[in-house]
Amino acid sequence: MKLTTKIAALCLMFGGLLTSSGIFAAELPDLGESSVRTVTQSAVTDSLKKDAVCTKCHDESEVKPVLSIYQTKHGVKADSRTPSCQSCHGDSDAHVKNADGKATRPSPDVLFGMKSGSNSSFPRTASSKQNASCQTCHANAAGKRNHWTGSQHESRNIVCAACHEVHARQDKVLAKTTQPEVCFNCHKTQRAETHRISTHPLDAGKMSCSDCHNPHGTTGPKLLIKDSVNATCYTCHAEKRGPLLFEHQPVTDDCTNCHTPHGSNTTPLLKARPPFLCQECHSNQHANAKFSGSNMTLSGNATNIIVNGVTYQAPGSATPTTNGVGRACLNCHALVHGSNHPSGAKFNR
Amino acid sequence: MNNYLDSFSLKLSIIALRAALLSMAVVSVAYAGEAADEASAAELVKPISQIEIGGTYINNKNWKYGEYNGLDDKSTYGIANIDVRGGAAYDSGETGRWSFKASDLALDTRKMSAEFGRQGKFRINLGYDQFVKNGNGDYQTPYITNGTNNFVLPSGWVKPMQLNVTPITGGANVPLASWVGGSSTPDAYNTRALSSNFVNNDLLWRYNSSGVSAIAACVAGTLTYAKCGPVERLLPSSASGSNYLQTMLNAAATDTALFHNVKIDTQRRKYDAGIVFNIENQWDITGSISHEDKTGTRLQEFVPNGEKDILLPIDMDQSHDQFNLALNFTGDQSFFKAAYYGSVFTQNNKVVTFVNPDLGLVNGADITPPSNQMHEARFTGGYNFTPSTKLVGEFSYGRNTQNDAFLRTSLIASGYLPENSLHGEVINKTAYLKLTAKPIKDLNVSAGYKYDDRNNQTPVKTFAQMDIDTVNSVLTTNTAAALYNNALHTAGLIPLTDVINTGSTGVNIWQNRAYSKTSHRVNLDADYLIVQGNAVKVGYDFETIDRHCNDSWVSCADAERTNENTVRAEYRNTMIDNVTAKIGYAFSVRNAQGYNPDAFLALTPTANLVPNQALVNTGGYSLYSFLQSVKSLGITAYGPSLGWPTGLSSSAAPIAAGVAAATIDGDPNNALYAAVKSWKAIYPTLTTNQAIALTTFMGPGGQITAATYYANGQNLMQMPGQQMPYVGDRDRNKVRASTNWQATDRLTLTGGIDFNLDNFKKTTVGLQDSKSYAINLDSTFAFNDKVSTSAYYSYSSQRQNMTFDNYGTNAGTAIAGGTAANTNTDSMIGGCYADIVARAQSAKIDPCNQWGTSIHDQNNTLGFNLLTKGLLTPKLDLGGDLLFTWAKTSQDFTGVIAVTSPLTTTNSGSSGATAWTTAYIPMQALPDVNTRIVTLKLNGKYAVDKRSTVRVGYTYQHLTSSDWFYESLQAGNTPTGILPTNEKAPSYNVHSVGAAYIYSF
Repeated sequence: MKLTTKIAALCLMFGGLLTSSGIFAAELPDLGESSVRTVTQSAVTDSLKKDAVCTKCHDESEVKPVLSIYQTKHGVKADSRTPSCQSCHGDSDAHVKNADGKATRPSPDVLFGMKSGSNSSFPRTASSKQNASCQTCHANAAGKRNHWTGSQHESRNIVCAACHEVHARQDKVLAKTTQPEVCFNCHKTQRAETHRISTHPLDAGKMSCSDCHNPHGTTGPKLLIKDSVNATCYTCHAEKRGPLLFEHQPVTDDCTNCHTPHGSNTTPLLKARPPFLCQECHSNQHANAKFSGSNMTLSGNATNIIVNGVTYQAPGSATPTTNGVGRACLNCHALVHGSNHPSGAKFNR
Repeated sequence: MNNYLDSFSLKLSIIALRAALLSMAVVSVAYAGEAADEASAAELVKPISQIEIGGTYINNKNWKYGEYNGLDDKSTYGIANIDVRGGAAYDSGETGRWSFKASDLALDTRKMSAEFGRQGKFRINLGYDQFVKNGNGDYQTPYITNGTNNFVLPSGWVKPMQLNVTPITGGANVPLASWVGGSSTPDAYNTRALSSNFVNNDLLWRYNSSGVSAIAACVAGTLTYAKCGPVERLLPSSASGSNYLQTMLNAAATDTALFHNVKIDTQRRKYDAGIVFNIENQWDITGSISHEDKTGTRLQEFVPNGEKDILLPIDMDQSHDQFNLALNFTGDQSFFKAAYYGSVFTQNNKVVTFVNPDLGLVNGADITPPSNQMHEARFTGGYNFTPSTKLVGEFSYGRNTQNDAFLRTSLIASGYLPENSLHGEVINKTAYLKLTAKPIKDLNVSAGYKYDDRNNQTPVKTFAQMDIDTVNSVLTTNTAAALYNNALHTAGLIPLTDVINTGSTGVNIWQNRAYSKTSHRVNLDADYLIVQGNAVKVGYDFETIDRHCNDSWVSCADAERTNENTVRAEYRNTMIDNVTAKIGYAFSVRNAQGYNPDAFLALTPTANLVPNQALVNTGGYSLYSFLQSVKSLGITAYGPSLGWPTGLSSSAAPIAAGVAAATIDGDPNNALYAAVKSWKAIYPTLTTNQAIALTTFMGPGGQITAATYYANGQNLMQMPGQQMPYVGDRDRNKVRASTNWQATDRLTLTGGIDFNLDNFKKTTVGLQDSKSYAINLDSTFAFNDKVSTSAYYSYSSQRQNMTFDNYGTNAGTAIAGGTAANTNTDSMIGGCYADIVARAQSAKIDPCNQWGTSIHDQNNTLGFNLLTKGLLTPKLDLGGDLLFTWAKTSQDFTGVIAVTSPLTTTNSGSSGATAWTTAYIPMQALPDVNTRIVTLKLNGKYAVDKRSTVRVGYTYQHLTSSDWFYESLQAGNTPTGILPTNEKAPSYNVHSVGAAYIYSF
């Protein structure tokens, strides 16, 4: 199907769904009896009254928008699960009443974020207390947070608010184009790696950290979304999954035996340049050839040599070796990820 | 309040995140609605919709700049983004909301998504995402496609040829008195001739008529390199030579004109849909489906025959469908999830055919990755025994299959296929349990266990195939291959009808290996809060991995088991006001149990068979049984563990009809008598049959090989004592340290160090150690509420040290000062042995042939950001990002290398002429690969009124690379068998300017 046809079909599908569901008339389809998760209008009003205790001060003048939470899922008051300000921040009576009349009010019961100290207006709320507030609703939800407890981030006291901005109209960490900058606030080595000449398309906004990682905890290594490195890679590179007639053992073992996914000086995301990468494992008589500036390239930075006490300029290489230059070993063993060709035992088919 | 500091620190990394246009196009729409200044409460609480229209101009065409963003042409591109939202108001009694977002609509990276639902009841989302990846824009090929992935050469194509320049005086390596052209017509395929200036390359490098005296002068140092080195070429002095030269010139001119550019790019188009449906309060169903097409053109190498290579732009037509369906239960104390995941990869363009540019052979055929499927059931559950004690478990069962038909067309020459397809099947099973608890105040503990099993149940069969399937390849009877044929049939591995076919030249007999892997991992962690602000965490991990192959006749695993123990400790400190710090250290020891240098034998079933005794005498041994029998003599591996006995020529092929051991011992005239006697002299405990087998199984390089009688069989081996790094013994050290200092209300400083050291402590060759560290420094500073800046610097270093041994054959090739006849008593210059014989008797592992390399990657990244909000006027926001990236890969060597050069001549050539011979010279560093990237981004946003905003942007990006990878891809610079592609290292300067209008409602 042509792209334009597909786009047209998609638009028709969208349009049909939206129209038939009456969205544009603000009428959404009722797919069954009203859920127990919806509440009455009076309950909505009651919840907003509780919010008003806070929003009468924390209004549109806040540097960081507070009221825009009403544009988010947390702000849909007719959903019985939707929190009020107090649901997350606590009743915060001392803060609200400021009984002593101090210029700086006492802290709310729960403040979210990682900062603390004398430069902050309020002391930092303990991570466990912050996260407990979120987990009131999200602890047992079957989904991406199943393995949060005891995970790498949880056990290092990372709080939900370190990454999530629940008041923001668009939580940055939930948008593909802006998610990496959130992660890179801590993962600075990976930030630098994504600037190398060979990278995944994070800069272009076509891929985000959560395409491979689930920061809430997983059963896989490095918080990968699948059980293993390879299973994670196959979500995009399914053609390499096989099984194949002739498999390459390190490939089936772990893609990161050869690749470094965040960025590399050697395309495509390789840990070292062939043939040297291959020579880490292959030492047979065909593979163990010496390659260096003395014999491999036409413009090697060769220096003079001494033979029999006489100094000569190094001869360099008249003819580059097939398995040493360019794609090196892969010039012939192109199907290094495995071959399904009956003649492909050595991955040259 | 420190809110703005948080915000500014985020902005810093924006510099890294998007190409200029995209950052303009996408980000502004996403966040323009967050401009809180002067926003009214009503505007903040209602959904804001935005539409953005504009354009940007790119001043330069470059594939690398547009590698992922689609902006690879010099052109004007449209900016079109939509973000519209609607539905119930926050304060209504309704929960229905919807949204439609679209970005980059005018680009090849367009994306659309729609979502609607009743919160708490259901949600449906639909999406479309397009993704482009541009390949090297300089790629060229002479091939044209004649139908889908059927590559042919234009009618005018002339096989590039090596000029036949047989020396007419002297022997091999003797300088010519005069180059007069060959005695026959040129015919050797040589792609180095594909250059208009090929006469400057080595095809014509020879030595002039004054060679002898000139070279003597070179040795004396009285001539310059230009006269001495191989760069001086000789033009033909005869009519025939001139004709040949003209033939080559004509061919080069014809062929180079046929090279043309082909655009290399792949497109991914992904369509997805998802639903969340609430059955009742505690039960949900979630599901999603996605379909992704991958089309376009990508480069893939193909091997017509021998060490020849062509890189072809193959058409892609493949798709990937993924399905998710889950039933979820969420309780007060527990949760449960039952899920299905399906992944179906479909390959539509399965076969690639191509004409061999060496026209002596006609066609080749190859395949693309085959279709495959994976289906998985997964069950996850958790239970809170107490508020702080929780058990979570997850179990999965998956089945991965692949059964595409093998390529069995007329293009496949002789060979035996036991099946028409693989019937590949892998069963994946995982189990995961984790218990977390808080036994006492301030102490958190956890214990986890994971089981992961990849059980490859693919049938193991014997395949007798040519390595390179080429039509018109002349199949001739191969006596050596036939040695095993009867045994293969007797063993039931091939049918009788294929015995003859597999006795053909170039036919190898292989068995597939179905790699399986089972791992068990245990984690124990304890985190204790010593005092407020001081916490320590300790942990222990144990992992054992078993690797094996089902139905393999011998273990296929490089290491049958690896055990790894890890201890970890981490200290976190927030005791000092405004400063947080943490440091962690982890140490791991991995031990390989049963490291198996013979794993490659699983590929060669012939190693387990006794050859046809009527054709060769192996003393009744198979290779494998023989090796098992002589391990007590110290022959422990298949590497170059033995040298030839003194006086026994390596060319003394011991193939002989089966003769009784007693006969050989008593018959000095028997072909094996001398060899057996010699081996027994070295290893007195050898039986005669063992000595016979040793002689028979010794490969041409003096190594014992499973496939001595099959082409390239020795290429499967590894050096004795080598351990591959992915399974070898390893000590691993990791250090992580970081600190954050909130110096003032406006200044924040952070720093961190990552250090890693892997030491592969037991391997003799290969990767010895890998060390890396990274230093990261960040700062953010806010001058006031309107102006902020941030900067960061990262330096990383990674060094890999490797050692190798360039063991060689017994042939006396590396000789200087010897005779042209290369007798085995020649002396050696630069080697560790006095002569070739001495080296051969020392197992050919000459310490002076050992070499090493050190690869060093260094990367510097420096970023600045400046952001102003309403500085000049409240309606104007300005921002700028500047990023510098320097990357350098350097590679040094230790050791010497044998080169052929006139500079190492002697006067003792047997022909009486000065010999142009071989000597060791120092290995020298490869050229540094330097990459420089500079990016400058300037953005401005002016709010015309509450509904209208104008955004402008400018981006400059500069990239240079000195990667010598591309050097040998140029016409005239390639190895002799590789067709040039003329791909060049990326280098560009790109400016872009853009403007867009944003309407909010």
